[in-house]
Amino acid sequence: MTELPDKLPFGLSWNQLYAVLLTAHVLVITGFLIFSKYFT
Amino acid sequence: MSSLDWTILAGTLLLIVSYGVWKTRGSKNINQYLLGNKEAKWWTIGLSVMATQASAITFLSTPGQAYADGMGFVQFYFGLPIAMVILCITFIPIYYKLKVYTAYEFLEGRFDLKTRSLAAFLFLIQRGLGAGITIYAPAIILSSIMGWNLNLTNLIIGLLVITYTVSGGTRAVNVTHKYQMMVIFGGLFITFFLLISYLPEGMGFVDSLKVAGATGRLDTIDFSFDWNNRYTIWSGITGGLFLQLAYFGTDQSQVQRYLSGRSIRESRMGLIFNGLLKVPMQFFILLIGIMVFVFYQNNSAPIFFNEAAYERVAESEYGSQLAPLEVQKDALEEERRTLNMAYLEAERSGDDVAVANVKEQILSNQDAQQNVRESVKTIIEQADETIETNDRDYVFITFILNHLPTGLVGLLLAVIFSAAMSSTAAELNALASTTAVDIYKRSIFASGTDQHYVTMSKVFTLMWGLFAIGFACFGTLFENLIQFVNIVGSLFYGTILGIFLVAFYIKRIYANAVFIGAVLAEIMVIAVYMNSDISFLWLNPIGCIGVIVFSFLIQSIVGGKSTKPAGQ
Repeated sequence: MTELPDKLPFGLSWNQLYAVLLTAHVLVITGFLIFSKYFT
Repeated sequence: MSSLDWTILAGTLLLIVSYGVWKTRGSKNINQYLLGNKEAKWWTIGLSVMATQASAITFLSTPGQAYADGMGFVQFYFGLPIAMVILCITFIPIYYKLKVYTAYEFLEGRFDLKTRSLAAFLFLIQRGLGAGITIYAPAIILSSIMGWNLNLTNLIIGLLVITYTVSGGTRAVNVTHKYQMMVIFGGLFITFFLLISYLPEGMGFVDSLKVAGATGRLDTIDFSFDWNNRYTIWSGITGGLFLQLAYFGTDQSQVQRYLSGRSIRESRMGLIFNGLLKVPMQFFILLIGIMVFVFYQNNSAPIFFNEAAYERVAESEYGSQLAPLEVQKDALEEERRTLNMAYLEAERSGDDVAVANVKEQILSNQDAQQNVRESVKTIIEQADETIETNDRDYVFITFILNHLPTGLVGLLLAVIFSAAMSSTAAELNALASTTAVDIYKRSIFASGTDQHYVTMSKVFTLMWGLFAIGFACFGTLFENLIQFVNIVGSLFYGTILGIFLVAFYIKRIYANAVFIGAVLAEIMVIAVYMNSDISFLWLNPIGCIGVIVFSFLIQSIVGGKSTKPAGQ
């Protein structure tokens, strides 16, 4: 099967999209840390 | 339960099942039946992948876990987004290139038939048991607390799933997943906002989090490096990464979800969608558990959450021992309510000494309540040792039944049933595909027509469904259901993942070496599990690295090329 042309959100490349996902993940974990510190 | 609740529960379930059957009637070829004609869009794949992983156990057990231990369980999912990226880069392109129906097909091309069969066999054992537990886990809790017949509950969940999974195959699983996820999210959001509305006067949402935080329940990240501690950031990122990689990359119940995508793009986007939403979703479910905890700080909580079992003991000769403990618990709860308001008062005034002082009193009150509950559990154990004294799986369902308004109880039960059905459907679908493609078509009857394999896939779906119901009827309750499912998974996943990673990345290792390496690694994982207290998450990297190291050593010592290397 040939891959269909990629049309990714906001014209991102796949690598950029992976970077967005991983950055979001780091931000979420940081958010959890701040959340824990604030309420404990 | 009121007739409105029954109507909502039955109506929701029957609508979803009928829609699944109607929408996917008449699957004519094997591609349509096992891969849904490869027409799924990315959001369907994303929701389907999430619905497969989120079983009823997730919704019954996770809030109970937050209630008892706090938010730390979310760390279990920290490896998931990283796993999604690795899958998008490595696994998906290979599966698409080889046009496989199952993940294990790829292993025959890379190694040989026996390695493919070994991986398929390990999957069938692990997932076959898993499907039984997926039905049994909610059934035991619902039957115990609602007074339903356990086997009848198993049978109803199982038969509903079999109805649309047999008739519509993968596409039926995918289309029903979308609506099941809608019901699940809808029910949870309504419950969350109701919990906020139940807060007493003078306590807002942020205040309620402060009250929970005073007991350490909002400690989300644990940086300690303790091999025996189940959930730390390290076990979540490393052990969790291996587990999620194995689950999403090599477990047919997930691989089948994204192989049904209309292109590589849709499959990848579906997994990225899952990677973005999964951790926040788990956090949200745990937060609901925290809000239930706060609710029971402001209202009287059952002394033992499996109330039906408690009632039986209370009516026995042991009842007289329970009465004084009830009085003690009530007094401690009363004291706790005063302390909570004093804590918020101290917080607002900014008096750090007073905050620390009240916090200390809250913790000692918590310990005292814990001691009372432990005493109750000891008495229950003496009265009837068949009663499971770990009652955290009963926390959320008890709250639902006792404190949600009429109508919403039916909706929340529909959430639990939908979750049970969505995971079971994906499991049966995958078990049938693996049996049909990797065992039946490959090793038993290779010259059948397309229609023959569709019929046989339906027969296998039915057989695995009946097996799962049968297994569910003979199960027993384990310490904590969600953990048991994960432990069973972790015993096999590392080995299966190891085989796949060798296949993808180490071209100089051939079939015999990886086969023997995998068998040795599996023996090692079982030995480690039986002889140590190590957290189950670590079993995944141990099995995976075991396969890589053993097969590498065997290949280096014995040498030889029993089959072609990767990419040929």
